[in-house]
Amino acid sequence: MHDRDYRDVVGGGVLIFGGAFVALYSTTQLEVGSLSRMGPGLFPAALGALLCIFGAIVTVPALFREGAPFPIELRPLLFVLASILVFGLTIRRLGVAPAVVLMTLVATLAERRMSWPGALLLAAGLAGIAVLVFNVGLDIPVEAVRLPWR
Amino acid sequence: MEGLLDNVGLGLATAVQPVNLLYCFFGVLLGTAIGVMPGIGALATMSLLIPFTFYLDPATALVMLAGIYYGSSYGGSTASILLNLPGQPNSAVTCLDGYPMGQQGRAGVALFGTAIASFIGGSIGIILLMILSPVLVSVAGQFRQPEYFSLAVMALVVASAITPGRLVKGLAMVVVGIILGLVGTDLYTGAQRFTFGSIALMDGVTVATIAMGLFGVTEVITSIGKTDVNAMYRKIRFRSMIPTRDDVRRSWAPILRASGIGAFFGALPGSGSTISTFIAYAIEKRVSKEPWRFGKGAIEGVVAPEAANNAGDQTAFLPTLALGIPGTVNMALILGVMIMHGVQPGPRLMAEQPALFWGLIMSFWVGNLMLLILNIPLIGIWVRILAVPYHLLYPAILMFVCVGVFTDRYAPFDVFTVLVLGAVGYAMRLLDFPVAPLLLGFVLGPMMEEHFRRAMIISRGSFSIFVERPLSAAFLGLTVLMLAWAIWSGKRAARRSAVEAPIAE
Repeated sequence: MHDRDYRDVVGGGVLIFGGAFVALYSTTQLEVGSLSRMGPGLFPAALGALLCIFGAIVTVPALFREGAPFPIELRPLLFVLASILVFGLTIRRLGVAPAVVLMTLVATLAERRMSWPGALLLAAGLAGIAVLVFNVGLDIPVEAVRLPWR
Repeated sequence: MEGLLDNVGLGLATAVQPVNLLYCFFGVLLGTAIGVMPGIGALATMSLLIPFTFYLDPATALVMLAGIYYGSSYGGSTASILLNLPGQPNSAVTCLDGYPMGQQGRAGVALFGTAIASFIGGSIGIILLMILSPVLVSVAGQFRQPEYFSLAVMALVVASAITPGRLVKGLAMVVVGIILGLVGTDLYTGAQRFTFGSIALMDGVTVATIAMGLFGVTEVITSIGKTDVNAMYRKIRFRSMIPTRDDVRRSWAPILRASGIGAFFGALPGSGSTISTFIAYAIEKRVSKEPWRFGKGAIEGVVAPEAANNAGDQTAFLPTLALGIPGTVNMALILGVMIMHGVQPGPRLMAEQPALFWGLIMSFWVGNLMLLILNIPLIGIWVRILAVPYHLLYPAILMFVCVGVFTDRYAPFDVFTVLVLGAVGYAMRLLDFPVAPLLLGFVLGPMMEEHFRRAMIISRGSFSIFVERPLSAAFLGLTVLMLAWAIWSGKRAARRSAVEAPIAE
């Protein structure tokens, strides 16, 4: 047990900062106007203020009560996000099949169950499905495999 | 009445077009499959398929997505009965009596019962949808900007208040969703809002990106290492599915009652079918002459929630199609897809696009019949799906997320947006913020702002326009009541847990 409910302290804090940012941005970067002639900034400014209030309601009581610890599972989080990142970085340069293969290999690391041969087999299979569905089936204007020297 | 028959004919003509039949079948098939499997939900699957819908007619696209949605409710009970693990959130209650039935060797009867209950519930829902849509559309003829704004506020507040104890967090997520919905070019003034100089953000964030990131990716991250059931699946023989006369006698009244409950809560904006399953179960336990049988394999406790969630799935389309106000996240996604396909939702939809409107509704009949066939003779196949290990499934889900979101605009930017949203979604789970209200806010946000602005122009900046008009005032009054109830029940729950906590230790 923590002496404070950090889950809600953090969550509410993010809301307060986010709301304050939205309200500030809306009032400084956008025209606010008046209620009878609303500018583009008025609605988001009101929402930002509302978010700050909600954030305070979440945060303040949490400062004065005990909270349970919340475990973060880093392994699945990091490798799933990394696999998406790899795909985004390679899809333009390498084409669909290589990007899917690399993405799958990284994604399988999120769980310790897969052996390397198994992961390679899965990656090849998924790349085949992706090419079949998206290149053959939907005829998307991205090469299945992009040759770097062309 | 004649008008209804004409519409039924028109709708059937659309629904039985070969291409629509095909995609309806594909939708309900996929819906059942993902419904059976824990770790991937209807919403994530629907959002995965959004990129594919651009190659389809709007009506066909909606028929398919809707099929996934109500098909998943059929499949959801299978894992509940066989593994004591709900395949879908709205099948959680089915575990209570479904799993004990399976333990007693009556899994076949339970599966048969849920399929029939689902079909009856679904049918009652569709009939109500057919009768009430024209009524609601004619009432909506009196709606002006204040009514739409107030109704949207009501839907959003109800959606946040439905999870007790998390009212404020739900409301905060609604607001975040609305703000996300405002990103991009302002339609009135052309001003760039929250784009920070990025050209890719000028068109705003798409509903597909939000849904795939917050639901698809987050679901994968949280399910890894948890949903490996490695089912010790058993063969379900057709003979073992035949219910006894006693089962039939016990089931029919609960199915009808629960269908009514489900239909009501399904149509209520913001509440959805999960809550209706809890209420239906509680009511059956209350009215039963033998309440002690519940939790130990009572068939009433299996068929009631399944009838309720399927009835609710169908009537959820009522506010969505007739008013353009989605009641649940799934409906918000359907509405988002309609807008992406250039179909303007709202009360005029029925008059302007009758073929799409009635074709979609009639496709529900087609889909439910297909589901009945898929779920009774072919149940063995679905049971086998439970044996697919999650470590083979999740990379496939991620592949469809990545390639799918990329093909939307061929922009790696969208892939990175999904990445960020996946991380945000995980943080939200960690910090105990509900995700569903965010998507509802996102879809309703732009519409709310537009109606609010117009109402303010009409009233010259006075808020009284929202309470001077009776319907608008009624919606706001209901909203206030709902808020009061949510605060009160949240306080009561907190007090109860404070009393019980020392005893538990």
